[in-house]
Amino acid sequence: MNFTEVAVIGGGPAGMSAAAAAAKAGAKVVVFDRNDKVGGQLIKQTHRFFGSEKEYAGERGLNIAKILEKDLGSSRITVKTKATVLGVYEDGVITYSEDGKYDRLTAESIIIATGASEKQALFEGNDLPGVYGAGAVQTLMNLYGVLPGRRVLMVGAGNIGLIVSYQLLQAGAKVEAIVEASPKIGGYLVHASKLRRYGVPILTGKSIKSVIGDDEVKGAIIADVNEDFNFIDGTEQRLDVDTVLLATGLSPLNELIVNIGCEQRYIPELGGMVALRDDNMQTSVGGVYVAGDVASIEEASSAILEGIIAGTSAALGMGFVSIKAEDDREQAKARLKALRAGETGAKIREGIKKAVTERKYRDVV
Amino acid sequence: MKNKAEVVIIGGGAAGTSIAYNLAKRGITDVVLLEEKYVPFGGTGRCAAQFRLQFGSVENCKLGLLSVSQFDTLGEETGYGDLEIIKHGYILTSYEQESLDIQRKNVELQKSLGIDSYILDAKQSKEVVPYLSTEGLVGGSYCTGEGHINPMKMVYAYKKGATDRGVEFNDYTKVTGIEVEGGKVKAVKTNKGTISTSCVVCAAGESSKYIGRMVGVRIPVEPAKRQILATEPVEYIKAPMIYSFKHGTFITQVPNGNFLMGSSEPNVRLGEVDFTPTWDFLERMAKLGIEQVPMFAHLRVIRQWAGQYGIAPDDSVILGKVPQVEGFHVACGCTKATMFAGAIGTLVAEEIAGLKTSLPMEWYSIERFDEGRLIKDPAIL
Repeated sequence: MNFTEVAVIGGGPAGMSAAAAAAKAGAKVVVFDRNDKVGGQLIKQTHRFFGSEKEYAGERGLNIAKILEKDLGSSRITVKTKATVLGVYEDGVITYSEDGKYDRLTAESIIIATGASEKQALFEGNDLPGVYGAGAVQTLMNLYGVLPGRRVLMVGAGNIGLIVSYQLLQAGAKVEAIVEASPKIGGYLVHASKLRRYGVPILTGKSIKSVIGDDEVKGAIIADVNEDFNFIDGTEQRLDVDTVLLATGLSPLNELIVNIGCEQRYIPELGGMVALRDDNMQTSVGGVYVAGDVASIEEASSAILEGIIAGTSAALGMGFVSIKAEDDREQAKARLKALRAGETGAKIREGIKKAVTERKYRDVV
Repeated sequence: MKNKAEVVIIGGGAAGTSIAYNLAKRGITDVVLLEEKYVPFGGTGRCAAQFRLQFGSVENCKLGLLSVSQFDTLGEETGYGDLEIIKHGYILTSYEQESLDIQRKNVELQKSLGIDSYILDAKQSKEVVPYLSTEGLVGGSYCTGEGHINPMKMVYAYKKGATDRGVEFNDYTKVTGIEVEGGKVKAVKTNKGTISTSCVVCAAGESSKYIGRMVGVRIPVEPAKRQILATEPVEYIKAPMIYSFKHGTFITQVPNGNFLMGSSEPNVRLGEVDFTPTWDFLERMAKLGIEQVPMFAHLRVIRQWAGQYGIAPDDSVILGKVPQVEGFHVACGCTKATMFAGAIGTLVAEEIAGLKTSLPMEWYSIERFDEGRLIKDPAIL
């Protein structure tokens, strides 16, 4: 029987930091990632990060991935890439397919760090070739060197919409417009200003109504929306685009959480269905932890911190004694609190309040 | 929630919602349905979405026919719309001459009741299910009057038909007790209050025995976990459900292209309602699936889930009044509530309304267990 102490599912920022933290505290760790290399979404993020220096502010995403990957070099950690986890079960068994071959591994503790997927938006023609998730196009461009279109409409002016728009300009595409249904730009002003300097219109209070074309995107119709986000008749406007990108939010990839039976709740502030957990990121199923976007849609920096909390807690929870790990965990909690402070963190704080239960799901040794 | 009703139905699966609708259709609209979670949380929402006619007993064949006749008109009748009914049929496969002989007898019975089934040899079987492996296959029985129905849409149609006529549905309402006075039902107690009533229908599926205990009636239904695997979707071919007694499995493709497959369980832990999927099922089912449909070796499993069967000693439905308590009715589908929903609702509603029932109630009554009149059906897994 294949056995490990901690299994980490997902090798993004949360999973990598969780694995490193658990191994540092003494546990033997196996990391699963379905891609051919670890790093998650970081490896396509060519922009510099904001935030505090401890969470690698000023560093580009792909470099942060390299730093975190170094920590996976510990002899206690085995990294399995091209390894898709199929299911997690109540007896600690993980079934997975590695390089097309089925196998299973039993773990004493499981950290679910599967991340998120892009949300689809509802409009006529949203299934035509030429309609992409903005994150998917970022992967195509920055990882595979593929530019999928020339004239782009971006839907959504959050950070992903703004950053990918700028990277499209860098890659030689023309961004005809960014539409944002809300009255305000959601992303950082510095990203938005940069785009405005390049002459990209950011149109708030507008959204996409339909895509024109039978076999592929030949254009798009945008229109004004009222405060209830319903279209206002007569405000339609045609844009000549061959690509429509959706940056309309992320939802947690929670299938494995459902699979193992963690108690969940719909918390819109955190992106959708998330597992309830204690302040050590342990779910209602003892020994099962969550970290990163699967727990709440936030930034890579908070994912890293949640990973440290989950990783140290998993190791401490199974009996490893480490004062250093306890310190690391307390520090990570404090830094996470600081990250979520202020006006920008208000929504997340509200969501976290609903997701974190008072009780400890399992006593930590 | 109402505090008084003519009829209280416990359970919001296929059986309960169908009874609600069929009562309302017959003019009994002062009805409250209580569901512990939501409609349809239990077996109905987790089943393989099929209905069949090829049974080996008069009792079950008749239930099938009565149900299908209701399914055919339900969507339109309730104004709900399409229920995704596709009569792709079932093929019940045989790998030994002996079992094909039993099937031949079943087909004779079915034909005598107006069910258009017939026997196929191995080559003909392959023609109706091109992806079926014929290794070791002797033949099977086939019928096209049965097939797929979307169980979600079915219960929503029943719910719409019932609520449009005034029936009250209450989700997240747990029954905590039933008051009986002088041998008669008096009230149903829930976490949200008490409802006075003289008529209660227990349609609680796998949890029915607990409801029975509240009134001192032993309902011989035990919960038993069953699981299903779903593959990624591939091009849809209208082909029958493969039902194999040898493998103890069913395999079918649903209209959006996913294959669903499930099996009988070698070991079940009775007495516990448990929805946790297990990895050994994944492995066992994958092997049994590939044995019958070799192309499954190239398909990914994308999902696995567990549901509950409520199993009775003869694996058949239990319907109608109980002798011990006046006003207490049982409506347990016993693994087949979805496919028999039309009949369950019709029969129980007819009985409560004091009408002549479409089929003899004594066939399905709970008293058959004490009187030794079990339903003997050789065509059930």
